[in-house]
Amino acid sequence: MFPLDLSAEHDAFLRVCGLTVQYRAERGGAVTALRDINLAIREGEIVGVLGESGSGKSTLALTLCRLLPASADVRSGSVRFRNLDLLKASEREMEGVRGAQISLLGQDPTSALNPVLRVGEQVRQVVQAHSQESPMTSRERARYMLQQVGLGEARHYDAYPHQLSGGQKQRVAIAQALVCSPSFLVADEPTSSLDPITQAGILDLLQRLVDDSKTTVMFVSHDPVLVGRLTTRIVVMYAGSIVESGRTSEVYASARHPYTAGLLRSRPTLGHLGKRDLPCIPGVPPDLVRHSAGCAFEPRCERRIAECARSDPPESLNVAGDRTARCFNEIG
Amino acid sequence: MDETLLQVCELTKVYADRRPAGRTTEVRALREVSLAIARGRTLAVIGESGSGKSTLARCIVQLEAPTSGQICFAGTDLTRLDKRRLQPFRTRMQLVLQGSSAAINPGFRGWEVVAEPLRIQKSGSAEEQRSTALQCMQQVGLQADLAERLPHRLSGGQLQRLAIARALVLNPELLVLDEPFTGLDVSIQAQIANLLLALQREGSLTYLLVVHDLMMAGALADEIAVMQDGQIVERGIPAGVLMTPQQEYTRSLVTVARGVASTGASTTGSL
Repeated sequence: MFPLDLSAEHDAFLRVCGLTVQYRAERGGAVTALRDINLAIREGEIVGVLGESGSGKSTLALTLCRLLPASADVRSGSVRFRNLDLLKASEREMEGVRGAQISLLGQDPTSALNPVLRVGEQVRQVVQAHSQESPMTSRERARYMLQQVGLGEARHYDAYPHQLSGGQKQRVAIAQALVCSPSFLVADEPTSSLDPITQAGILDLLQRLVDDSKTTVMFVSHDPVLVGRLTTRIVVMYAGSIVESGRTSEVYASARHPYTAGLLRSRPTLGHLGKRDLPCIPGVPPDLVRHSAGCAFEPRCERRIAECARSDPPESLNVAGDRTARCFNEIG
Repeated sequence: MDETLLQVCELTKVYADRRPAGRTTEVRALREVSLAIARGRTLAVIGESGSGKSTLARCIVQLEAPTSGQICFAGTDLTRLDKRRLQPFRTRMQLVLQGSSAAINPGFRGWEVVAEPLRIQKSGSAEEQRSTALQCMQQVGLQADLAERLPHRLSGGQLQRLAIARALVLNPELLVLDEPFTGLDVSIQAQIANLLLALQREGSLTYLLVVHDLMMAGALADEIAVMQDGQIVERGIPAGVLMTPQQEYTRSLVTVARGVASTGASTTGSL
């Protein structure tokens, strides 16, 4: 992932350039959900997108699968996946891409699954949609994939979604996402509706499957702990912009953007026992309809200087060229 | 010795699970659960989905009748009271749920949501109800300009603050908070946690906090109870439960939480 290095065409697997996406709002207004996003993902890496509600992270995930709702407009930019310009591809081309080359794993398996179809059949239909295989062969592949996610018994294949727990349903959704061996998986908060033990099991499973199959993953989450555990590189989003990016271990060890630093401190740890106030970022994210000049994080930032309210901070690169931060007054 | 506000003795709740074939099986959601909370203190109940945490919370605030056992609030056994005599106790304890957007009337303005309990209890004139509601909103950090907003124009964090304000408006002694952080962003979770700490410091509120985030339980509680299959399998102060868990089940919960937390914790220097 080289957020600024747009010239190096050779090893980019997925490349997003200057992407700006708006949603039409009431009374002719517009919400800018993504603002000039640049990022590149290398084949085989697991990239984290860390951001809170309204940061644009889910809009980014949907754009990469070209599943934006009708109320969204891509204002500018391009998304290149291998040799395909995803934003210019025909709907027919996209049908061949989705599920087979790029898969989306969402956060709510209950609404992703059809309540009146057996789950094995729902996995089989994904195979059928992308291959000429006989029903028998596709059933075998679905059965094998369910086995891979720990649902190998016959009763699992024949179960209806309501007969499964939340964790089991998410395992079915993972089986659907991976059954056609896509090269790119977009996982948008895939464990946020699960309790911690189930969550850990799902993350372990996901990690094992993508490691085995060398799948490239974009893992989207609001939780710095999950992103830290799973990913090798990270982009941090705030109010539609990428505010920081780099190797996960380095960003976590020394965040350069004050928002990243604040977010990483907000999660309680064993160091917070004893009913003392948690470190927290004051205030709320900005209203994206009314964008004024200056850094979007400025009103909540403890390190703001006069310049921050006047103009948009530029994206700065560190010496080694592998980390960026969008801040006038970086830490460190 | 601190005054015990809530004492639960051998509480059992059995649900009948009716199968289509006519067979009825029993689900024992709570098995002889006993616990006590002193006034002004916080007990966190942790455990995975299905362990009985929410059933316990609903029994305590009298939304479910337990199958057997006692729930003593300020010395009175609530399970022995009839509906009429239970009424005064209902205002003294309040429930705050997760996903507050589903628990808030979408047609009410902010202040009306908070004032509704006062209206139901016929407490004060309409004008007094409004001003008490506004006061409560201020107490939970909601600015006055949000009072006239409808819920769909409030953020998740603001809705959770609104739900807490509504719970506080009757001046309760006990707040039962069932997963109040679920569905909120990490930075907003920290804000709500700090709000709960501040409210307790100011008003000697007592909390029963049902939560599945062990680290959050550790940060907010005086004592932690671990539930598994409807039973409390371990309890103690946060440092004890989280640093030296005694039960295998607690150890697995802690391992998951620490395993998940270790990346963030060790690198942000807070451990």
